[in-house]
Amino acid sequence: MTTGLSAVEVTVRYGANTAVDAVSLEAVPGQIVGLIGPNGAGKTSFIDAITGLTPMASGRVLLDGTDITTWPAHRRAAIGVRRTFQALRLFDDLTVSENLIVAAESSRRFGFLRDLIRPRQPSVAIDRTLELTGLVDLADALPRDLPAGTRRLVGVARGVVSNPSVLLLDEPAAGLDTHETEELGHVLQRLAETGVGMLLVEHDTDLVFRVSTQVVAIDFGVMIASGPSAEVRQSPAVVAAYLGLPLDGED
Amino acid sequence: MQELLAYVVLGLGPGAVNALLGLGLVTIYRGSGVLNFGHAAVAMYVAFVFRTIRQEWEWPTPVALVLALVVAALLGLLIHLLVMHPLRHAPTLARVTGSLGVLLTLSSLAYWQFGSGTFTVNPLTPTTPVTIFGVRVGWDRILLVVVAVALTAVVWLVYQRTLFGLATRGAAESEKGAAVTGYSQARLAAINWMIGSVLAGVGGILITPIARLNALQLSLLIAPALAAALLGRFENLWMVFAGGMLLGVGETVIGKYLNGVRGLTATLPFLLIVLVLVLKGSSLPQRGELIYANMPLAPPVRRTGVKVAVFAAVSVVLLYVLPSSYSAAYSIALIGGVVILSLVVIVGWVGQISLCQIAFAGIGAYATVRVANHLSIGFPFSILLGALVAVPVGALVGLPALRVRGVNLAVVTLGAGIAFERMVFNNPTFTGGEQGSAVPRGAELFGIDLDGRTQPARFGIVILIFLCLCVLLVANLRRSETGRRMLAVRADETAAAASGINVAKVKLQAFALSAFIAALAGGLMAYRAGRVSEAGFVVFQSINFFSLAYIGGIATIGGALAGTLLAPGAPGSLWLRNAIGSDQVSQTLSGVGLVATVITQPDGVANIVRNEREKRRLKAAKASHAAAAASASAADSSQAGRT
Repeated sequence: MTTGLSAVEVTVRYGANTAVDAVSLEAVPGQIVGLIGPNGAGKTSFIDAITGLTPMASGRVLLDGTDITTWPAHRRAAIGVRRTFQALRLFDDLTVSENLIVAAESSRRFGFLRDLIRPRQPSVAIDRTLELTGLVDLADALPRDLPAGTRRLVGVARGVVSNPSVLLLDEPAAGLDTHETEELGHVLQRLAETGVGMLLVEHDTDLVFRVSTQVVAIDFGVMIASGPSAEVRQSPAVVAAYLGLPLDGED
Repeated sequence: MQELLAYVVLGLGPGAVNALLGLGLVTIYRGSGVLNFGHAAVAMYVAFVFRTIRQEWEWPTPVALVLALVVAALLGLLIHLLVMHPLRHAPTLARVTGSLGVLLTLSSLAYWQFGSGTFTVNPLTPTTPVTIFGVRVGWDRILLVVVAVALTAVVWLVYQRTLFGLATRGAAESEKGAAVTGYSQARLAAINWMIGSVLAGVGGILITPIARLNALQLSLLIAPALAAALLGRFENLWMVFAGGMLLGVGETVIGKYLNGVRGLTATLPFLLIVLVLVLKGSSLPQRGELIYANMPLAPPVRRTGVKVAVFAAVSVVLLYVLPSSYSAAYSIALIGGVVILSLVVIVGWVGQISLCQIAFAGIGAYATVRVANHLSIGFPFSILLGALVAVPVGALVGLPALRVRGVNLAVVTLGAGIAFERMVFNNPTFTGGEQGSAVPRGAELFGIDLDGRTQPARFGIVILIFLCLCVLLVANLRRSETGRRMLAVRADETAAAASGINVAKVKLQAFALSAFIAALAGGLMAYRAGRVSEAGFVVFQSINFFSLAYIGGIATIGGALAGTLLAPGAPGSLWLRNAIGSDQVSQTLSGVGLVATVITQPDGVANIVRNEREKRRLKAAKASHAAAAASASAADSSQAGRT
């Protein structure tokens, strides 16, 4: 039995178009796995399939050995498969701390009726997550008032606040400048140290190779390389399909 | 066989009208992206104009026809220019409310100008039927079908073959699509609005000699028209035609064989709508599906206890101090307040548009009477039990909401409202007729007489207590775990599901609670009047309350409640009626007021002040974030100025 998330030959089709073709990978607690690939390679579709937001044509998803392939999205999230969105999709009417609280609370029996009579103070712990993501001072702000970089962090914080087994990050560095990206990298590493497994989908390959221990590369839905970060970075298939440049020139 | 054919023929007329109205709906939708809930009301108004010119002024029929259709085109143009164009970038909720405002305005305007009765319209064709294959077919039916086929063909050809049609189809895909062909989006929309409204006018003119003319009934033809348009997916005109005919014929044929089930025919379009939408829908919005999450503000609730206490004290004084007519009107407003709270839950906090809240109230009212009569359970438990009956009904109506969202859900719930009105509230088996609808005894508690008829002020206080309790419940909800989940679902269903929230459960809970609260209002209505009158639960009331809540601010308890003062029979409308001297005029004005409010204040009146405060707060917040960022990264000041 493996711990963490295993995706086994996950395939996603939209009509006749195969977006993800038998991609397998594992995300182990405490480690960051990078998933790279050019635009339209099927990265977001892969995350959508793992989290139950889009149906899989075939393949299996397991979390800590439990087969969750047929589970609806909210149940997968409840047992520990969380994600962030490229478009963020924060809850706009809730404050930063409420965004975290609502993601961490699990529903109680008859909670609905009890809430009508005596709403209780939120009992979930969000302080640590706020600290790790540097959002302590902004807990009462509304997401729409925050700058883009900070909102990205709110998205990440909402993803990890429930102590998930695995967090799937969909382009968390999109729209960030170099400084902000670097900061994000540190935050992700700090979070990984707390034991969360992460799958990092990202265009910024520098970030991916810097923070990931393992990297998987896909193109047109097909896995073209997989292995330790340094190996994949040198893989000719990846260089050809995706990077296009000799890597040494970039750093 | 012969008999069946005769019923099929009978259905051809209504079928053709469904097709014509559906055709117009599609034209307008493709041209401007608006689903016009007032479309059948346009048909109704034009039919009145035609009848007046032809029968009252006795002008020649062709002249009346031309003039009426000119009115139709102008009406379409006006609705577009004055209402829907200003709302083109507004959230779905505002656009739905705007077109509901058109529906309310046109029907009350027709009441005012032409009267509230049912009118006969002289036939347009020879009255002697012809016999085809042994079945007698009226010329009026033949005319309707021929016109419907011809107009569908014309519109189809125009869209297929002309540059204008190409541009419209392009515009339906993207605004740029139209620009490429050299047409401006605004002009295309205006022309399509005129064409669509003329089509509606033709339908109205042709059906009224058969179905007679009544302002409300004709406006409700919007339901089968929507069903027809949906069957054609707002795209395929011949499918719309077929769908419309199918609905018309299906209705008469079902009516023949299932005579016993009253009102079943009227629910057919509703069931079709639901079926199509549910099959087409998905449990979560799909990638790329356009969602307008942009909802009116739902600010946190603060100091509810104090506010409720002040409100209760003022209300008690008002109930006793106001002249009796106004005191009674105030009681009505308080009951309306309960209905509006039910809308705050479902629309305000979960973002699900419901246009059938009055149906829940009706179920609560009748169930309360039943409970009191048959189980000998007295006030106030009869009301509570009666309201519990509405809970499963609410959940049932909520089921389609699991797969249907936005404006389509408005269509489903409107259909549900009409179905309840026809099948349940107009059905003596359910309502118990005249006898069954009276409460056995007036309200009484601890020996205090609270009878709504003899002690109106005291019963007003009973209503007030119910209302205040509901306010506390709803305010608690907003502060709670469940409330946070509701707002999360409202903001983004996909993100909510990905955060572990069971979206379906949240929606069903909200529908159930909302139905319960609305049903409490129904029970109160029953005890206030001593009996239930089916007239109170027409679907128009649901639309009214939705609109009033929206005007006030549907996601704020206080704001939405303020809207109830303008409810029919409430002090606001009473004052307006006394000031103007006519019920119809005041209703027309409130329709116009609704439209004006939606356009100028899409967040509701209650949020005007808040929005101003918000703007200032936002400025301050931005300034302080910028300052913080600047100081935090003095060396690398790249963060400042990002938004």
